[in-house]
Amino acid sequence: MRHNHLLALAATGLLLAATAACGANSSTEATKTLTWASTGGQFQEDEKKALQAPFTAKSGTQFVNVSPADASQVKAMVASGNTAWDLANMSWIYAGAYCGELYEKLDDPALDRSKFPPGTTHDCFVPTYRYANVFSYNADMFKGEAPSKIADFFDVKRFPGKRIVHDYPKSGLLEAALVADGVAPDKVYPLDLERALRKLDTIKSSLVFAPSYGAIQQMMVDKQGSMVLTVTARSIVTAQSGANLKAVWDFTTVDIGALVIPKGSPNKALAQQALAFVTEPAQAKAYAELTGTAPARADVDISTIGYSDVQKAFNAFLPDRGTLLEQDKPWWIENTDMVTKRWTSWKVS
Amino acid sequence: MPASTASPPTAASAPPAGRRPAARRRRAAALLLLLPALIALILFFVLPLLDIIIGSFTDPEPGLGNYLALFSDGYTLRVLGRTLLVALIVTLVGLLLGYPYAYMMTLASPTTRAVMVTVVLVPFWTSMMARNFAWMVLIQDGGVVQGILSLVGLSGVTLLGTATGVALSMTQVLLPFMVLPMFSVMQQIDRRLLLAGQSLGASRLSTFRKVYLPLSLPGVISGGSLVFVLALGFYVTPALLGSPQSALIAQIISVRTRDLLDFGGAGAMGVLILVVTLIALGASRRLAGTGTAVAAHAVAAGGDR
Repeated sequence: MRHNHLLALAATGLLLAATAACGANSSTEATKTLTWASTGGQFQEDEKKALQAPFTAKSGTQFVNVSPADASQVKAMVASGNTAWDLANMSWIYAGAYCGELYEKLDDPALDRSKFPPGTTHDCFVPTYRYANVFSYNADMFKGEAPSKIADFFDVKRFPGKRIVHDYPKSGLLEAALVADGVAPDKVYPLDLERALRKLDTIKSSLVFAPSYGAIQQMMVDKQGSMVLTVTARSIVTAQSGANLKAVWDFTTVDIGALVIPKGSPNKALAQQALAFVTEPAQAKAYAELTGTAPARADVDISTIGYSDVQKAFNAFLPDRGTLLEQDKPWWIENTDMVTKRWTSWKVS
Repeated sequence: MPASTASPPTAASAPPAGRRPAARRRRAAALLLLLPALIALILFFVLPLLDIIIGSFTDPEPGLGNYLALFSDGYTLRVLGRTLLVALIVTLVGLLLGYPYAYMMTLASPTTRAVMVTVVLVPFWTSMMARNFAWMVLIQDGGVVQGILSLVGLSGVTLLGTATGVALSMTQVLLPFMVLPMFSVMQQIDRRLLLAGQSLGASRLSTFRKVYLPLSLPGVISGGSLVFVLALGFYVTPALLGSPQSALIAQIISVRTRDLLDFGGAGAMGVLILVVTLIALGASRRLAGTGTAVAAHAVAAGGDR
């Protein structure tokens, strides 16, 4: 009891600013406003242009954009009983793990789960776009033989140089380690974490864990790493900013981006309408063309999207892209705490 | 305040009895002026801190579970030890660089001194991210720093991704916190004391050791403890310039809060580092206790502290 009281007191001050924004939200029906939390930067600018603007044109809803969208902030908002966000672009893991507790269940019939690829939906999330964890190498650094298999990522003798990876266990690295170690792609899940870490131990001194996407980009452009495993949009940006990146299409894990609704969102119904709207073909295509990611719904024909050449080079959903594996949502939701703990203790030692 | 009444200079100039009510009024006014800061401090610091402490014992379940986990998870203590070591190195290197610098500032002309202050403060005015990325470019493989090191025969030294690289950057940004307190103390040292020492037959070295060093010690201690405490909480620099193998405590607190949503466990880590900080501060005060008292006397004679 006393604990909650203190928390409320402490949160009051911090949330003063948020409350001001909130007041405008809930007061009148005439001015409908949704608060949209996302990554910030270019990605959120693309969301404004491709997803928010058309919804404003259609329904008159205004958007308040905030960043970053942090799961810990959702937990703090829900605990204080003052949820300020209506839609948040963040990892679906949290929406899955805290469904109904920290995140709203999606019950609008417009969010028909059968429209999405199998294994990409949940009570608390549907995908808004699809992307891949792309393995690529710096072509300037391999003049002779170039990497062509996922196993080459783990062969530092034949293919020397640092491997830049994101400091995050669900970056596709664990799955890649297992496949390189001989596990069949369809047998990767349930994921044998210890086996994956043992495989990673063989190249640990060549692994560089990048703390941010910006750092990945900087390191690849400055040739600090010879190989990189990072998400589609960042591979594109890194290639555009001067790194001579070539993607290797052998085994690639793919995943979804999701907009989730924090528990107690002041405009849950409207947020769901916006969510259904942004997955529709017109918006999904516009968004795909801006970010280089792929549309979520199966009824959007990817060949009709006007990707640029560099976007095509890192798009895993085009033909001839080797083996694709959708990262197993239930497994990650179930095991993420265990993996994060083990991952942290593995890498700091 | 009560302690100073015992010291000779204050006792010699004891106020006449008539000033007493005025002093009381002054104290009331001072309290009133303090009130806004006090309220802000309680609302934004004391209450959240209490909440963190309580949460570390109650979330997810009441007991010492969060604390026991810190000692048994196999890495928190190691990372804590590494954090303390890096903070200590940064403090010592900062002292070695900052002490002569602050000393030169007391001798320099006002113009030179202004330039010296600016030089020390420049990293402080630059954006934190820009500064860290600049360091990244400087110390990366094939970067400027590596080039200079290979010129003096130290080729192939890797700095990016190591604790050394992190300590280097931290030392630079924390230098103002080291230099400025030392300078303000040194500035108040009466240089005639040095002449007096030498006129009594002491060599320059022993005058420095017996007179100047003890008098400058309060500045060393306040600068040193400030830098040490700030270094314990560094997050962005080790995240960008270090590697997980050289992770500091703030990074694993961040994993607990942001990736595991384990606020109780993160709170326990925070409380642990707070306790360690308080112990370190207390020890440093005690260690320098006598020297500080002597020096504080002399400085207090020159004006209010």
